[in-house]
Amino acid sequence: MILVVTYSRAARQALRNACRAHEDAVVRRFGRAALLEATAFGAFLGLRLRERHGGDVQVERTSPLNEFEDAVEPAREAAVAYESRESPSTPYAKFAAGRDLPSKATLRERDL
Amino acid sequence: MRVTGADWSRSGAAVDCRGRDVSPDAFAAAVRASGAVETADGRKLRVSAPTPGVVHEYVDAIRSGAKIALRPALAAAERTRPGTVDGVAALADAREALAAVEVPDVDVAGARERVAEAREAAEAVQADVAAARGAVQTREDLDGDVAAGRDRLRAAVAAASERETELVAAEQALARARERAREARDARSRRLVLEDRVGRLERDVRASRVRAAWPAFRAAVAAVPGGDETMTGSEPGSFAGDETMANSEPESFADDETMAGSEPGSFAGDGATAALAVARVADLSAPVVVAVDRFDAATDARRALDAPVVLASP
Repeated sequence: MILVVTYSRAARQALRNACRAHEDAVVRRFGRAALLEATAFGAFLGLRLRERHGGDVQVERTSPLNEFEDAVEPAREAAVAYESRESPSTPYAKFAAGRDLPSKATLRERDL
Repeated sequence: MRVTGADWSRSGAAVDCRGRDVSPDAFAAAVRASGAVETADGRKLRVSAPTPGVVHEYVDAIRSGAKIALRPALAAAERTRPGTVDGVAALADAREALAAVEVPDVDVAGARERVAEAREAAEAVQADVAAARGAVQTREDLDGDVAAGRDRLRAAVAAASERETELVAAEQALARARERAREARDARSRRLVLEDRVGRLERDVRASRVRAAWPAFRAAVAAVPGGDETMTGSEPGSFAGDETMANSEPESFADDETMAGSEPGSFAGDGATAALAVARVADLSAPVVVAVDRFDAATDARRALDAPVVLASP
């Protein structure tokens, strides 16, 4: 999808107006951000805002996260294991240390 | 002040220009202008007087049937009076903090474009390499002369490696630009928070000014011709937008500027009366053009408005 985030009052208002006028292209609206459909029209709306408001409009393309992909799998396994821990107060670092789980540093360094 | 027409002139704090064949708008334009203006029929008109302030945006020319945005007009009028209201200092602080926010200028679009072009170029040359390699292979299979083909292949491989290097460099530059843009967005976020704060404080201060001006406005409505004390309530009205009349539907504004309050407005008079009263409340040094038929003499209008007056024909 196309994520549009605004950083000024004028840009925020323009995003609201655009979302109101083109509801069919809007997936979800947040306060000063919106997710638009990944169509050329969604891109058109986002880029029009950026053309008018410059750096006050951030346009990003998002993609769904598949936790079963090889690159993400270790993170998923770690999350599942950590969320089913018996003692809720155990920090992740300590939890991971005794098990076959990646450390926080390893997770941080791993680029998806 | 001094009002100079094509072949006449008048001076004083109360000037009667009725019957001069000049529209109220032309007088108002001449008050705003620092030099002479041209009237609709092409003649020169000049008003030498102090420069008007914000209140004149609401009461530069007072006509019967005119509408006035009462709340902002009263807030502007209150500003001209001595004393201050709550929130002014906080507003000044917030404006100062907002002005101090510096947002670094980051051009990520250029870096993005470079990456897209480099990627396209790298992919295009990959096809050349594959074709050259295929050609050499075919010649070898046929035991043909492969020297020329090998040269082409070498050249294609060299070009591919060069473009690959450019692509890597472009991607690194983009990553750096994105990092800087991310930092710049922190500043933009801070600026937006401050913009919202300034907006809130401006609304608060405006509301405080309307409240502070209201008793004087009530008294002024009762004092100007055409007005009486039954037109105002004791509470500041909740006028939403351009209407001065009570019981109008609160208008819905698209932006955050919606006027506060949903209780019925407590001014039930006409726009001209409201404008006269606003002019009386405000401390004005620039002349007000009065084009309502409620004054016998310019000096009466000057007394009623407590301001310099140009009396004009409606």
